[in-house]
Amino acid sequence: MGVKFTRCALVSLVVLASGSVASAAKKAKEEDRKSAARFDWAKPGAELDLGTRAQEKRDEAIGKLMRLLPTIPAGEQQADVKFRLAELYWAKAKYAELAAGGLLDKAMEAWHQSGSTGDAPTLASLSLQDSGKIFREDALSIYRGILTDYPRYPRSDEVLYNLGSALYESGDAHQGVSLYWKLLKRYPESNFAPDGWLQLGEHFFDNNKLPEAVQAYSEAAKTNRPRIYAYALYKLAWCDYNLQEYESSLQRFKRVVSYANEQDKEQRVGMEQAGRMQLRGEALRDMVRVYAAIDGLDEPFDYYQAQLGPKDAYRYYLSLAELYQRDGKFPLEIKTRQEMNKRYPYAGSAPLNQASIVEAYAHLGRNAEVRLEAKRLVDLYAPQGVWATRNATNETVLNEAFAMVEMKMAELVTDQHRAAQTTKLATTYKLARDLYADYLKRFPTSDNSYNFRFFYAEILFELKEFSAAAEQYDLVAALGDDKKFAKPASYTSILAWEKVATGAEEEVGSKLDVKTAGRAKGRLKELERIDKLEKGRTYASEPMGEIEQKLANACDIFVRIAKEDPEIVKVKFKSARLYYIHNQFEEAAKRFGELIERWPTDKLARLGAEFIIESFNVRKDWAQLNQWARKFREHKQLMADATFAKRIGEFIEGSSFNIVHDVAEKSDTPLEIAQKYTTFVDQFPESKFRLVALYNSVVYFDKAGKFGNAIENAERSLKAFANYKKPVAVEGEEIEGAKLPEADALREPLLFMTAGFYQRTGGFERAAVLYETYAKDFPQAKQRGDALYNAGLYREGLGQYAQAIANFETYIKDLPNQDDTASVSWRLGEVLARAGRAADATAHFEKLAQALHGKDPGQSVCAAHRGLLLGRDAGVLKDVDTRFQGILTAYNKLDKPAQDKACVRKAGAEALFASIEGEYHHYRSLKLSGAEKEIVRVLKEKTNLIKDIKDRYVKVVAVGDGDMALAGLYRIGVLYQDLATQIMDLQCPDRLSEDQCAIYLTELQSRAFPLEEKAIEAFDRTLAKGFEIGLYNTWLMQSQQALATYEPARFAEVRKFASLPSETVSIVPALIGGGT
Amino acid sequence: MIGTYCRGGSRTALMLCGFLLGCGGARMNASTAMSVAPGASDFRRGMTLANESKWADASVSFAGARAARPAWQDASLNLAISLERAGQYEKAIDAYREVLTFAPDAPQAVGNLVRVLLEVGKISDAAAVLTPLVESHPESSEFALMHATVMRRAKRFDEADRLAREVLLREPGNVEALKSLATINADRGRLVLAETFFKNAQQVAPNDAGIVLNLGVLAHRQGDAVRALGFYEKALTLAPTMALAHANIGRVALQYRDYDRAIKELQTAVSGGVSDCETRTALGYALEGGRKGNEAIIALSDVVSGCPGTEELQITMGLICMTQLTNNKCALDHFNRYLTTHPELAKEHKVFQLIKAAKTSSPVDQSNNAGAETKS
Repeated sequence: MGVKFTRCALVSLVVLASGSVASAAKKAKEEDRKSAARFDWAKPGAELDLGTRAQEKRDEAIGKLMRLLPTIPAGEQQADVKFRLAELYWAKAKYAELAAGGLLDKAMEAWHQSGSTGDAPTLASLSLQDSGKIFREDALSIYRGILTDYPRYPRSDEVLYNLGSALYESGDAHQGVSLYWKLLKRYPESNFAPDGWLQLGEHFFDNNKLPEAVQAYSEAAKTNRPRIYAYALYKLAWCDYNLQEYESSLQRFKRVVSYANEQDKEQRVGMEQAGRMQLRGEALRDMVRVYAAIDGLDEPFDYYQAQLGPKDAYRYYLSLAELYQRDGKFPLEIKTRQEMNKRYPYAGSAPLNQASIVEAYAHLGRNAEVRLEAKRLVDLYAPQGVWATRNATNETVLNEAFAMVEMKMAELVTDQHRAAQTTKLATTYKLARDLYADYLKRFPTSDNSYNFRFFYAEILFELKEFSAAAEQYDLVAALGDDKKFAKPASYTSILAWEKVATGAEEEVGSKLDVKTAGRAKGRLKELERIDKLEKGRTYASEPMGEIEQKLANACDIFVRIAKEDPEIVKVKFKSARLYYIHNQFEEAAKRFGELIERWPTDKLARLGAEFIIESFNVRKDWAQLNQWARKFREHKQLMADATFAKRIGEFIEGSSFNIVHDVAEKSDTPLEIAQKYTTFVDQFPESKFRLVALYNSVVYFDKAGKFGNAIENAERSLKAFANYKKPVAVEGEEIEGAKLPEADALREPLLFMTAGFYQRTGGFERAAVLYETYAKDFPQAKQRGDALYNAGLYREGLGQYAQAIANFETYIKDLPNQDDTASVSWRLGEVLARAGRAADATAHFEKLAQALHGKDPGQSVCAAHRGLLLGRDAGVLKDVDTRFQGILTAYNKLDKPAQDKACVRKAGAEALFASIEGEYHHYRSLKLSGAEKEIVRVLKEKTNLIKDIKDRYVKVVAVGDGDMALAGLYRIGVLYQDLATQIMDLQCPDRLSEDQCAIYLTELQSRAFPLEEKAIEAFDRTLAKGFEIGLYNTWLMQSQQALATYEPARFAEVRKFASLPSETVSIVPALIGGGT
Repeated sequence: MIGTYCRGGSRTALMLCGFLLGCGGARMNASTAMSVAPGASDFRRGMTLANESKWADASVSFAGARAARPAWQDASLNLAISLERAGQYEKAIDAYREVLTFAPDAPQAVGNLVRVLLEVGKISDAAAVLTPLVESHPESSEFALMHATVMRRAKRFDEADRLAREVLLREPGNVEALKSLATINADRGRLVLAETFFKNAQQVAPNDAGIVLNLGVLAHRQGDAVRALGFYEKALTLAPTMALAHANIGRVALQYRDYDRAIKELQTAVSGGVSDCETRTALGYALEGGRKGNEAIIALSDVVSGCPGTEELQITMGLICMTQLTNNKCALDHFNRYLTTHPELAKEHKVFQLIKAAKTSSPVDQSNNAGAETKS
């Protein structure tokens, strides 16, 4: 059964131990007596009945005798009565004294219970001594009277003995002894002579007159009365012992024992069994002294074993061992106890023996044996030991044993530690060290363990076993911040770990130079240097060595425990430094941070702040740098240093920027990044990074699709350029912000980008302004052409033609060789036209046509055609036909692919169409009127022309331009319609009669109708073709109008409806099915 | 955005899907709709009639269904749609307002009401519907763009521009906003800018038929019918059922008196949901031009009955009666209807001449009208 040394258990043990100690003290007192035991039965009359009832009987007897005495005549009978009275008074005196003693005991108890206030009660104060004294005096008086009045009284020997005993007991030893001698001289053969000798022996023994005592006891021993003989023999043994005649003494004691055994065996009368056993016991016990005196080892074991058997003999072995211990005979004690534990390995007191062995070795200074036996002690008798297992059923024994072992070990350890401190011997310290180790191993949670662990650590430290010491200090510190050794333990742990960390081994001499100052405050190693971190290098976190880690932990613990200690700043710094030099910067910062937090005015705090900032700055850990720098900014004391404050400000600003630039840009969404840049600018409106931040925010707002925000920041940024000055780089110096881009490097893309935002969100006017600014301020910019074009386009769209024209003109002038210069130029022409500058437009297209002539002949034709149309329609051209002819000539010179280009085809078709205009109009101008001959001539001419012109219109149709094809078809219809109409409108010549006229007109109609049919066919073809290909144009409408002359109801009114734009709101939804 | 409400299976989601075209999967087949629920037979009948484009009759049936179950949102919506398709805009407005009570914040529901209010020229009413919604939903692009449309129709271009730009600033890729801005610029005559916006929108949504169509609208406004038709046809290749493209093709074809095409395209457009007054009027004119007198009169009568300010069409119909149907009684009937709506007309007005002609059975000289251009 395991036993735990809990506090309660220990208290119980202490109580028990107290009981044991009391009992042991009593025993020890017995053992310590220098003389033999006294036996009441050794004196005659010692068997007085001192009970109340006996007292009453005595009073009754005294009454009777006193009444009888006057009636008895003088003589022997009277002497007998007096003798009897003396005995009764003596007994009464004894009773009275005993009763007084009892009352005194009670009064004392009451006095103690009442707090022992006032004088302690005495017999005198209680008035209790008088009755006993009176009765004693009465008895003595009667005895004396008998000797005087009755000289021949036969029981005078008895009277002498009783009177002598009474006087001796009353303190009158001289009179007592004198009466004993008188008895022995007068009555040498008296039955009371042996008693007298015995009393004399006692008197001499007590007065250390041993030869006289030996003589007296020897005389007494001559009697055959067992009671006297045994006791005298016992006392003779004592006399021998006291005379150091140990052999004789031993033999006499043995004789006492053997005599008692014989008496007991033979059941002899004369000495009661109790008396015999008592004497035997006393002899056996006192014999131990003799054995101790003669350094007995084997013999006592054999003797007691033989006399008492193994069980009862044990206590005498123990007594012997204790005597050896008391007498400082440690080797004998050791041997005795070892023999005992050998014979009784599982005895209840075996642990005590082993503990005593350890102590004995310790007394002998035999450290090796102490270690060994101490180890045995804890191995054998600690709670988990073999002994404990065997005694598992006896909890009391176990608990007592454990308590004792623990106590013994504790005493031993303490003693050894004390001895070590006294002697300063290294060996002693080492012994104490080992004992502490053993103790702590076996009793790690005992009440003493806390103190002992600290002491153990202290010894280890003194022995320069720093690593072990540090471990123990740490354990002590870990047991509670508020405990008494917490602070010194945690502090010395730092010292110890520092020693270990240095790696230097220290030797101890034979004597330790123990100076408490060695562990005193202020002995911390000086702060070591911290190398400045280098920019550009990588500082990967590296694990601390085990020792350094422990040192760091120790520092942390001290800081925690000794919050107000003056050394704490230094310790804190040390801890932080350890983390710092191992690149564990966050941990270091935490500690430096606490330093700064609590001792902001300390120079180490400021230094710590520098290190924190530096570590995060060099490693570009912007988030941490920012966090710490902001924290420092809150410290008024730190910020009292203007230079430092300025640096902190710069760090906050720079890291705030870099958090976004280096960190957020890699992880956040574009919107988040943009917002963070914006926040930065809001926080640092004057920052050197503000332009970059704004620029980047614009880029990321763009990526996030937040044009509103992008525009807002872009405009902020554009305003901010006005008073922005980039930090100037200085050779050899690291100027913050010197590597920032030049302002224009940002402004250029920003302008273009911002214009784009406006463009994409309908802010065309602002877009145009920004594009123009861009084009003006950055003449070499790559996107200048785009800017100019876009600006021109939006100005055009806004109807701001002058600015549009200016932009396009700048484009053409400054970028003449761009791929799209021609198209821009075309656009310029269109804008000129739209601006109402038809002449300029015409001239521009002419110029463009000339410019393109060699490069792109087809497009040149188109440009010429466009200019011609603009000029013609505006009426600013006089040589339209010539120009058309020129276009036609140019068209004809083009190869087929070039002619197939839509605008070229149109130009060619229209030029071809234009080339017919003269003949067409001539044809139309020919009227069938006048004289018949003239009519016939004109008719013939028209008839001839119609075929030719028609063929030429067919060629126009064949060119393939839809519009002009319809125009050609329409004109063909018009040719026929014109002729048919003119024929139909002819009047009858006057020379014809009415009938002839009818025939004439019929003939004309027959000629006209086919022409009409052809005209209608041509118009219908125009319509059919137009409708077929969806070519709705003016020629189509003209054809319809022409057809309406033949079929007025064919075409209803022209109805125009604007097209409907696609807008979600304009769609009517479909019906839904009706789900309920 | 369209489609957002198509997800999920909640009743609300289903209903909202119903507001949309092309919400596949969310719509129910009428034949599988409830059979025994109150108003179910009316609802089914309404669906059948609607499938036959008998919108007025359908609206009566849906009204019955709604009366049977006042809280039946589908019936209310279908009633509103039917009324709108039937040209009964005032009633449709009431019906859409009722639908809106079921989902006051649903953009589609709001859009339906706004569309009809705009159709009947109640621009300020449309603005009144939208203004609080725009204020209470400042982040809603749909409401903002609807509001922009209303402002554009009201010729308050700066406000329209601001609303659409605000959407674009928040959502640069919002095609509807780009289209809206393009349309606003087009209405302002800034055709180059309009085209730029449409091209920007095309970059975002290259397959958006609406953008292509709007480019066609621009071309049409610039007088380039051929180019406009090209865009409309391209739009149809992207969205073959795009009724608006058919409508616009029909409008252009009508302008150039390509009646057959105009009739075909406009009928497709109207049956496809483009049933605004103008388009239906255009269809009526196309039928007139195509000499389909009876159909023209039916179409134009529908327009007159639902579209405010279209009474003049009675004269057109009267002329159709006279010239195409040779039915002077019919003609007189339409002329007189016109007079009842315009009792203030002076005796010199053309309608009195026409009445006289109809009464005397004089032939009507159509040549006076041929070739004349009128803008509706």
